[in-house]
Amino acid sequence: MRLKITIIALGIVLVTAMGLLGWRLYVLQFVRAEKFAQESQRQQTATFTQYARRGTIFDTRGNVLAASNTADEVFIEPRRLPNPEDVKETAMVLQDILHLPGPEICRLVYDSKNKGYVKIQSGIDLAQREAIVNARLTGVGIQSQRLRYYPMGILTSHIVGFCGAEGMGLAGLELKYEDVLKGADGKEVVLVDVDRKPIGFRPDLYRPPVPGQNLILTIDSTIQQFVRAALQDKMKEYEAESAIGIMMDPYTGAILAMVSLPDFDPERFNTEKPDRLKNRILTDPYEPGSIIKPIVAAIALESGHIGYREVFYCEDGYWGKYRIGEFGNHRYGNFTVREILIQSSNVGMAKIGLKMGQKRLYDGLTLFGFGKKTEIDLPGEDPGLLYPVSKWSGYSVTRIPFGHEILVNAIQMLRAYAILANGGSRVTPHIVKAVVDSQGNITQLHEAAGPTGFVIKPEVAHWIVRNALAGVVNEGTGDKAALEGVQVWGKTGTANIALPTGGYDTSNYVASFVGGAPAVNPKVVVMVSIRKPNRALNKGYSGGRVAAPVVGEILKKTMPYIEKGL
Amino acid sequence: MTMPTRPRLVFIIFFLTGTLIFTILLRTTSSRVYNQYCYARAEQNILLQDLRSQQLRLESLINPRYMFEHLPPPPEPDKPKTKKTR
Repeated sequence: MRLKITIIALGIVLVTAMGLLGWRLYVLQFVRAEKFAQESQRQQTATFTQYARRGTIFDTRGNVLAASNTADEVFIEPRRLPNPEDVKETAMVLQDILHLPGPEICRLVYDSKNKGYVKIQSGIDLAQREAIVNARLTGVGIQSQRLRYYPMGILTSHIVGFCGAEGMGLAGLELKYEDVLKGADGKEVVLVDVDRKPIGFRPDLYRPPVPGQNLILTIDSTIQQFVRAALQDKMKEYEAESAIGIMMDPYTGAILAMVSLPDFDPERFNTEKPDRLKNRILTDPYEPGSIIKPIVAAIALESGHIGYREVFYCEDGYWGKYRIGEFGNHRYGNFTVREILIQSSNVGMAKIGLKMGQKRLYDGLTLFGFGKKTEIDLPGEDPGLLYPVSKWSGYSVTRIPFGHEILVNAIQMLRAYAILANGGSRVTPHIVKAVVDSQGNITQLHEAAGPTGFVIKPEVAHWIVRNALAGVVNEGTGDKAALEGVQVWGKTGTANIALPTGGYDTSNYVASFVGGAPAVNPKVVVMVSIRKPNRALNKGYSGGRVAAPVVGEILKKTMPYIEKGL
Repeated sequence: MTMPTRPRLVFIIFFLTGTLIFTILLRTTSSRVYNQYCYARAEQNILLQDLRSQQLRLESLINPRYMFEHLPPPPEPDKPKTKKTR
């Protein structure tokens, strides 16, 4: 009986054990099979990421503005060289290979706070790489780095922007077109032996990298150089705080040049002051001053509130009722619209504003695109500020016509002049002409949209450009922009700088000139603004004195370049 | 006509040994060829990398900015010395 119980108990134990084993087998074979298969796969294989090459950025003539490459970098791991003698011996070997003085290598190692990695030299060639590998130095390694190069350096820094350490765009087009430029990394899986050494492929798991797409810009580096050189000379001459210069094709909105000074080296952006990284053209709206006058005059003429020959009395230089004076305390009498623009009369413009009325002025400025972003394909655009009429004071309608109580960014202002230049059509400012994939196929094309509705009638636009603004250069404040053989037109502006505490800075100004050439079918419109030229130099500070010569200099070089199609 | 037992055993042992050696040989060859391929590919990558860095260096030497900064300005065209006559 006892034996029988024992046998039954043993049987139960055995059956239970077998059942548990069976359950375990079931779990291993069916429930967790996938996990273990993956685990096994992981032990037998190694995965290597194949980095996608970031897209290249070209200017309109095919010059490279930004491109990527991998470069081998030699590094030392100081913690593996605890004795100074070891460092010296390593440096002695490396100095012959890298052509870098041994003491300099030692200094890099000793001065580094990172004991795991000290960069010695980047961009070594094949022979140097082989020599280092063959030398079998302890604590010395070679690592492949993805680098972004900017062959034009500071010339196009604010347009192209820069990339961070991880290769991601952080500013400019690099940021705006990050998704287009970055591409997709690939994956290569190889079989490995017990020591994790590759012994074969897994072609079924291979995923090739997809290179990033390339950008072709509307920027012409040669014109960019003309603009930058002229701006920089003038900024230096006048010891100014900053300066901007932009050139646009008035018929398409294509930006041909865009310079914001001070600028920076995109390959060393992390050592630059943050202030230099700002593209002031987009980020710093300001009260435009007199350069807005032709726009307001065009709105008034378009609406029929004033006539071409209508005469306005300019109050002999000071209009007490509205507390408006003239720049330079000039005393003007009766002026037509043309003369108001040529002499840049504030009182005359205030009277035009009053005659037009608040609503028409607001509507006109909105149609010209003020108060909202131009949607240019660059990041960080500030829309400026145009208050709705409900927030205007009784003085606003007399102040806005000469550029106070309104904030604009430079692109908005240049676009408004492009509308005047092209006969009244609205254009969209843009900087990327096309996106091209690595096979050379165009995937996006910014075609000239053509006239998208008239903001003002062509006859008004032509009269403003050919009659009034050409007069500003021939007879008025913009004479320093004049050129032989080409009719330059434009408007000067000497804008007050609003203080954060209220009121205006009485000792500093923004000197501007916006215009173009020639007067009939203009090929380009240009804007130059120089902020805070040093008045103590006694060289002048007005738009006509400081900014107009820069535009003249730029057009003098650009017009033959464009006409000859160089 | 069956083979005697002893030579059959020897044949089987030789055959198995040969197969084993051949397998090892194949495996070693495969590994060597793969390593050669990897080395060649790495070398090709480095050469491509070198070529691209040379291209970029060339780009940085022939772009408008470099030209304007390093080339002397073109001479101004001579103005006519004779006065215009009506």
